[in-house]
Amino acid sequence: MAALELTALCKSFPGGMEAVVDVDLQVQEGEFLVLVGPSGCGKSTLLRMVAGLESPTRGEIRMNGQKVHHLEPKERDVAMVFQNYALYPHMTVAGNIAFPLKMARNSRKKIRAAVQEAAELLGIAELLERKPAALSGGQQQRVALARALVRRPRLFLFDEPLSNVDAKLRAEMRAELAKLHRETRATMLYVTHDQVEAMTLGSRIAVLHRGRLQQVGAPTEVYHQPANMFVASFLGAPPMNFLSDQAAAALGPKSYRQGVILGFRPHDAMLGGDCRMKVHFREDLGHESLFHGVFEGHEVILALPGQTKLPSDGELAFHLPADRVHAFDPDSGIRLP
Amino acid sequence: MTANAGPRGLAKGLHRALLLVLAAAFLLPLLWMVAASLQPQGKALEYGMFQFPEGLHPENYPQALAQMGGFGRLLLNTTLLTLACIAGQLFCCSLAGYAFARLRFPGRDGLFLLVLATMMLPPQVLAIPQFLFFRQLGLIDTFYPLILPTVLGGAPFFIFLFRQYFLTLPVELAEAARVDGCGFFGTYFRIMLPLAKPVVGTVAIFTFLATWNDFWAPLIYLNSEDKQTLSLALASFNQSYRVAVEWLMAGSSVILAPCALVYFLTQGWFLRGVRLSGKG
Repeated sequence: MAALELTALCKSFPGGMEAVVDVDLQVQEGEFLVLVGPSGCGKSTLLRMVAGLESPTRGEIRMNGQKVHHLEPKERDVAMVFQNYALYPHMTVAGNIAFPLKMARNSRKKIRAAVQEAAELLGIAELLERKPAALSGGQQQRVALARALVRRPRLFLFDEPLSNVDAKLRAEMRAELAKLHRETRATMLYVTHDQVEAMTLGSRIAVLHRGRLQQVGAPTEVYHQPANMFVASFLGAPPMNFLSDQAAAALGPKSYRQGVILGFRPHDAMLGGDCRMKVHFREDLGHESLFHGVFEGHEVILALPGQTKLPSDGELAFHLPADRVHAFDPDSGIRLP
Repeated sequence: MTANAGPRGLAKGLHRALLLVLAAAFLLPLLWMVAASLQPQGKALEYGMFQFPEGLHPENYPQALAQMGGFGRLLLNTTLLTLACIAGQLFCCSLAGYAFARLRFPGRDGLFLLVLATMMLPPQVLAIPQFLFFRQLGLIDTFYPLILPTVLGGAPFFIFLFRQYFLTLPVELAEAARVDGCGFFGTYFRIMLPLAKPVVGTVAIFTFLATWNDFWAPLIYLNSEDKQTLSLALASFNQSYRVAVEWLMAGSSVILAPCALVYFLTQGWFLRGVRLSGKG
């Protein structure tokens, strides 16, 4: 039985704006599922419906087989970490962490022990008497995690929790979240627009666009076998290069249906071969170089090893393994087999 | 820099001088009140404002309090009434303000405008219908007509103040509280109200000053001597053929003392309230 099951879930707002359209999704017990998509794609609305902060227009939400969409947030046994942490400013760190347990009328002794345990797990035990305003962004983030963790809920919900911290701290927190999931084996639903977070954290990722679910699968599966052009272009940095079918002959002997759109990832290009790209400029990132240029009349980017030398004529020879070239239907954008 | 310092310094000086003149204009009546309260009987008006009195007469104070009749009871009545009004205002206005800020229901904004529109009604217009209403309920000569309006949202301005403040607090705080196990009232009492401390303080101070000094409503609704308030008792010095100015001023000084004390103790809140509300 799935820990969380969404069936034909829809949410429209007054004025006819459809935020979530017919989403079917299952999150298994102990799974870390990342819901990823660009801003405004409906991922936070979906999360809020699971939390009980928004009510669905249509569809069903089940947790462990039980319908919950009529239940109040407090009756769903979920914990949520918000983008801006939402720590209660008038309470100390200990007060914040203890708050959900107090609401559940646990004994003082139990609360104290649970707060201490959660604080130690997240390395904030020495901050318990401070107020949130006296903490750094990373410390506040940890307190928010501890507040969610302390209840041992059946489902954790994360609403872009790392979007307010700097890049270095974000990388640290990503690693900590992954560790936390390994240690607790809790079921987690995580919303982000950051594809690095999605790829590194998720057991599976679900890509959402304009309220519709585009693809659900393991990160490598979604990356290497994108269901459609949106997924192909959204995941991966730099994004996938798209070409018309007229470039097919230049790519290799494989033939494609007429009119299809071809795509390949910048990182799948390999040095040497029959393909020729006129380089306009390069970006050196140290471990790799991004070559921006034109191939068969299309603007493309190739990601090649950092020390790659550009020939004096400005033309770069490369090739692509045949299985790394994707073909997409030009009307629906769906990837063709 | 030197060229600017002159005109800037002059402007600052003028600004200060203007403020001092204004402060003096407001302070003078108070000083006169205290000075008059220490004058010999019948002399306060005779001496005028700027003449130094012939000897001080602090005995005016006990005499004035005795004349008011049962000062302890008056003080108790006024204190209880003030506390009840503060509690009523804080509870109802904060709850209504929270509902207007955070609850989603059809017609919310229209209803809020209606509440604001009631601010346009002068209290004198409401006096007669309100009196008839409370008479129908048999509540004349009780404290209820003075307390109930505060509990029934009689201060739209405070509702406005609370609403505006609650709108500045992040929505996620209330949402986090809901997920953490609070219902509507739990969220309101445990999270939102403690965070609205600046407005709570402001409303409490404004209500204290308004209720403590109120003469109009007690005059309309309270008849029995044992229910009188301090401000009402002061009126007993205004007799048909004689106004005991010295006693009146001594009584006024005593009644004003708690207001001054509250103001000095809570200046910070008061000023913050003025800034929040845009009053003044």
